[in-house]
Amino acid sequence: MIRRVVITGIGAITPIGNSVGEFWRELCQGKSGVSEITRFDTSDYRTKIAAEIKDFNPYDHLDYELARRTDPCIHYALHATKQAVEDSGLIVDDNNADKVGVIVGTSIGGISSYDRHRDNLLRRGPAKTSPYFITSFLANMVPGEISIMLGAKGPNKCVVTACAAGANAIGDAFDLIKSNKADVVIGGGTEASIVPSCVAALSAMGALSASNDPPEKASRPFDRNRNGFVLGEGAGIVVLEELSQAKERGARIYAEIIGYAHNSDAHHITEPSVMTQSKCIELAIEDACRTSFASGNGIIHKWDIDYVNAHGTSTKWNDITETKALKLALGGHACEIPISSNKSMIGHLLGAAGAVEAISTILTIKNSIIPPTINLEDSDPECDLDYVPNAAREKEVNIALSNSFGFGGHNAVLVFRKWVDTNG
Amino acid sequence: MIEGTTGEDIFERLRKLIVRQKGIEKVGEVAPNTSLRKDLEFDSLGLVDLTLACEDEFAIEIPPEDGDFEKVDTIQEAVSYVKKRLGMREQ
Repeated sequence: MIRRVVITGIGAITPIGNSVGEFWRELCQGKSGVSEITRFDTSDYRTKIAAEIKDFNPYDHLDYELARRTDPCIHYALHATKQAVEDSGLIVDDNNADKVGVIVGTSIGGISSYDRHRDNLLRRGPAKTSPYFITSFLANMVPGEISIMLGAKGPNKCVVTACAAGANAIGDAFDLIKSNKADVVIGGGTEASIVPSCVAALSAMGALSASNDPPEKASRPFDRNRNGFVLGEGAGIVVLEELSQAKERGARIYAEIIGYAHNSDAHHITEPSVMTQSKCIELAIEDACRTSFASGNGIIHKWDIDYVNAHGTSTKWNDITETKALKLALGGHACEIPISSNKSMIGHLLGAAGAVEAISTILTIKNSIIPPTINLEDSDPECDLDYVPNAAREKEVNIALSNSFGFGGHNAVLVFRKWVDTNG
Repeated sequence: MIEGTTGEDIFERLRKLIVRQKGIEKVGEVAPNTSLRKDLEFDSLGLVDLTLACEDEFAIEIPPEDGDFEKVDTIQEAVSYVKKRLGMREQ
């Protein structure tokens, strides 16, 4: 008998809201979270805008000592985890702790802490180096701190696959439960890299938009005048749970996760590849088909996909490549379904993007509303699909994909399905 | 005597360093015989952090290999240790 996996809790902190409710409301209203960078002086920087988290003081939400010694990427992850676990009603205790895992991804980890401690080292010398230097920036401290907070003693690891990390983490969590290595997994991603080093470095790659005025117009996926992504920050966390256990404890079920695939371009460090992205989408649909068939709900074809939450970064390369990959994988069906990009509003959350966008995808399925792609005013002729321009759309969505692609050639695609009791 | 280096001054300055590290809620009222490890739950990393803070606050050096410092457990012992180091600085 196949072990099925459902989402029973969600939590998020994003540039347009520090809770899931606020995030979803603003997303559906097409509100941009992009503004001028406040974290540091951008006078010498080409790019002066980002999608920052607003009005969040970690000391209001976390134990003082914990907040003091940890990086913002951990603050965000713990804040989103608290929301998700509370939302799920899950209690972690001696009875289940060994089968509760944590798989959380990040692209860059505790970079602001790294930069601060390294500046201190160069300024004051090795004898004045903080004992918290290492623990503040290691990427794996994110799931480590979550497990300490929850008492979760099951499988625990960090996924570091750049902009695919959040999706890979949720997919790996799904696999862990399917293979009976865990009953519950806290999955997701976090990122806090709006710091001078990252803005300068991403800008040097030509990845960031420098359309600083007005900031809210800079992120424009699939638009002819797009010129790079806008750096964002935040975290998205979901509680994935084995179906029978979730039903037994009467948990609310948001959606079922039925498919996951990940592969590698094996091609170039930053240039995406149509062929492997397309292959990844096909493999994810095959995986969803196996899950569905094995659980007595019939097979799934590519034409059963109702919606795609796109990676949609607003770079020249990504948006054309992703469009071609969707056409190759879905054929003519790609032209018939809505596809939208959350990044038009929240910017690119790097390692958190796939997780926050998975939450958006889950809520689209649950609420039958597709958030728009904003700033899509003049379509790129090479991006000729239905990107839900500028206004949210009501539509029943049964099966949806969420795409994530990362530097290094990492591709990850998740497939979610509407939960109705009759398919249990 | 340098200003701010009486036993009471050192105690108060040390208390502020501990509050900055642990938070006012956890520290609350501390007494001379409060144990850093047992009462305030300092772990090995936390003690190193406090040592660095003391070096800056009192402009002293605390070598990691100093056996006397290893024995410090209560706040009073820490005050005495800082006093000793301040005395060494004056010489």
